[in-house]
Amino acid sequence: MKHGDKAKAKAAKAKAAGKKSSGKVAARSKASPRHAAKSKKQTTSKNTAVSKSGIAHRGGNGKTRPRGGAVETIAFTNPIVATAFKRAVKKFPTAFRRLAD
Amino acid sequence: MQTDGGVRYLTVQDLIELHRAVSIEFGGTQAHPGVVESQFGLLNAVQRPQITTLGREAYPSFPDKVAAFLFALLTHSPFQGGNRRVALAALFAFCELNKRTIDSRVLDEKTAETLFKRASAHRELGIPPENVFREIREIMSRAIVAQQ
Repeated sequence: MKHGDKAKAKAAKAKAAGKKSSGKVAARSKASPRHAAKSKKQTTSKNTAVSKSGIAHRGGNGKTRPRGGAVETIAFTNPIVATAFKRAVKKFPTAFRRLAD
Repeated sequence: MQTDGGVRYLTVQDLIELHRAVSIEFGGTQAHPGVVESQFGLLNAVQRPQITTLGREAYPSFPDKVAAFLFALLTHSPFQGGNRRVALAALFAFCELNKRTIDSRVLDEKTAETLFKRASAHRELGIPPENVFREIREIMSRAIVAQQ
């Protein structure tokens, strides 16, 4: 038995049974290894392009991630002051917005 | 954090960090995160509630200290922009440091906004500074309550 004979036999059997899914398997098996390598290359190149272009891509939870940029973080030496600031912003958001110099 | 007689005070570093945070969060045309315009004003505001005269505290109660601190901060305007926002954030921070909180039924958003605007612009409005200080102290004595 030569390599690939088993797959051919399976395809023929599936054709006879009229199964669609097995047809796919047959097609996959029929595809040459060169073609498979090419398709693999295409997918990898597509992925790199997406990551390079910086388009917001979706994560597993379906939410879009923010675009890559300089996100400034607010660092406090005293954690109590940080908590107080968060509380103040939560409690008086309109006052903070209106109290512009 | 400075402590004196059980009261914890905000430091210059805390105020600069609050200014940076407020500027990042709310921005504004004049906001320069963490940039101090008047070092004297900033130091004066930080040290005002700790003043003693003839061995006695000038501002003995906690609401008095808060009022003195806010009044100094609002009148000196040590930062290039966002002084009133920093004052509001510092009010919460000062209370939080001393396990106290603001009763929003007494000091609501509108009251705070009006009070802070009056205090910072009392010279232009022609209001005597002692009247403004008395007003702040009166509201603070009612608004500051112990944390539950």
